[in-house]
Amino acid sequence: MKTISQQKIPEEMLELLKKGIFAYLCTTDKRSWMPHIVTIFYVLDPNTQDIYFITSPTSKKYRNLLDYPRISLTIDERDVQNPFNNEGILVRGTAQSMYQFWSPELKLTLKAIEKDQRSIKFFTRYTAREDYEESERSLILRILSLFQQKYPQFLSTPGRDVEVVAGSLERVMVQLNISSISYWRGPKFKKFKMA
Amino acid sequence: MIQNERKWTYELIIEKIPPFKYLPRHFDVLAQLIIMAITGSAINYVFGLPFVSLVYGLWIIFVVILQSTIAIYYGPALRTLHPPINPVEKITFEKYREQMFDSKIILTIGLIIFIGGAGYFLTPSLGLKSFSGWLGGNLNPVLLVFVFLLWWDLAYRIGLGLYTTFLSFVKSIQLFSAAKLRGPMEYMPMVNIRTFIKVSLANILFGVVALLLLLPISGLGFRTGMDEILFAVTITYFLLVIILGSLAIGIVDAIPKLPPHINKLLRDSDFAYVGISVPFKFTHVTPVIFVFDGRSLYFATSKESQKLKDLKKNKKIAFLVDHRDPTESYNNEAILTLGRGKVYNFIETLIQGIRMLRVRHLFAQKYPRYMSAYKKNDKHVPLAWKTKPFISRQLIRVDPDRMIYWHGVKKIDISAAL
Repeated sequence: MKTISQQKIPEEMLELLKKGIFAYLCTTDKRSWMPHIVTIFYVLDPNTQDIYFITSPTSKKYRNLLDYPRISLTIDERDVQNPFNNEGILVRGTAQSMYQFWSPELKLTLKAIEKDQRSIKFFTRYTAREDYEESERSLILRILSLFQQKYPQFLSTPGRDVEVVAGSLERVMVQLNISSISYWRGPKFKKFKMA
Repeated sequence: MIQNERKWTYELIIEKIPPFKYLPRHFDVLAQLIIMAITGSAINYVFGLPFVSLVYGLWIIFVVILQSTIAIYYGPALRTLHPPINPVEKITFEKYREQMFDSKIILTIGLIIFIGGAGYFLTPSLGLKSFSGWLGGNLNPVLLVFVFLLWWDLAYRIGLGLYTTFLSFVKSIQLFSAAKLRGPMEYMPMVNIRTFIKVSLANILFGVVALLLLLPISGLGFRTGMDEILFAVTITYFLLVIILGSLAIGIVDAIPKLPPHINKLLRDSDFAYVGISVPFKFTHVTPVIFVFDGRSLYFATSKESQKLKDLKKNKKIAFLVDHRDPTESYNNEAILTLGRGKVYNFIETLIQGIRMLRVRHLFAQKYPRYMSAYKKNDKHVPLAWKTKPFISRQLIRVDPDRMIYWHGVKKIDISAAL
């Protein structure tokens, strides 16, 4: 199997990361090493090539991530007729930063966030800071707008979507640093390692 | 008091009458054995019975004790059943429980067997010859009272075994048809199925223990003569109990375990995601094609695959079947199975031959195009993709421990069906 080691994600893998709508995220419970899979929405930050997803701080995947951040996710396209057309990537990465934010409004939309940034309170478990730096605030807003662009149908109906923004008071945005990607198309395999 | 309604007469006796009521449950049977054996030996001595009577008497006491042990073993299990979710199954199960402890019917059956047997033993043209042979020709009325007391002990338990066997058989058929009336998310808690099978196994044991009675009946070793009628009756009893007991187990085992909707999703979904986790490494998640046989999930992987290497280090598996509606997230459905992966080696596959053929058939049925695509391209693909079992492909079975179902934001834990 060919392994490419470089700083930029190869084109065909990047293409799948951009095209993919759902990702299957596998975390693990560090106490029992029992894996756990959930379907998530995600965005790729084109500048840093990090993956972001948003979850609830009470979810199993988040609790697993806090204890053990080395995880993987799969994004794939499948053909029921012919396995030789199946294409996919397995991304391995480490959950780097987690930005927890909170809003007093139950039905929170990106529009509301942009309109009144004071309605959001950020806090984090790691740094014990009650608030975020301006750069972090703008990062979160930038990622949120990426979500808005990618999943307009889910974000436009507040309260309906559970994964992204609305529906709950507390959310966590998880930044995933990619370590390596395995790519397959039919029986052909390729591996990329972040240099 | 409600508790007492679900106990056999025998259990009530050992709870209320000294010395049994002072003893822990495990010693009740032993105490019964000792008391009966001492009484039996004393009677044997007082009436000057031959050695053969002592041996047969103690032997029958031993059989009675074995039967008691079996009854005490599954009585408590039946009292801890969980009510099923489907109302028809619930009624069937409640009735089963009630009838299982119906002392009137059980005593009546015991009495019929007792009277029938006593009549047989005392009729000169029938069993009197064997009967008096067992007692060395001594038919003292006082002795007969004790002998018939023992016969009652035995007759009651033979009747109990027969009754619970018949009841379980009839109920297994009723449960099977009741299961067809389940709603999409209804199921029978697995703990009930296990109890039912346990009871049926105990019934079968009753039949096996009855075979011990063939020693006095055939007069083996003591030349007391063979009683052909009793021999035939005992064999019939044994066969009846074994066959009905096995059928009951088979029928209950064939009842689908999971809710109908979950069964359908697992059978019809084309793909699943398999997650594996090796301690202190990155987790691993990949798509697979799979089949479901109503109990376990099966997928095949390449002999060279990371999955297989990882599974050897940690057999815990997460298995996600996911139905996504790209326009309406409220219609999304997912089943997450957490369980253990079993890698079949060559010998195990041979042993599990029929199961393996079934799994192979399920694959061929579910993925006809995949199978033909694999075959057509077999020459051109790398070894890892060839379909030859054991040379390049490895079958893995996932035995579920937990199962969680999501519909939109609604989460239902259906682990109790496993």
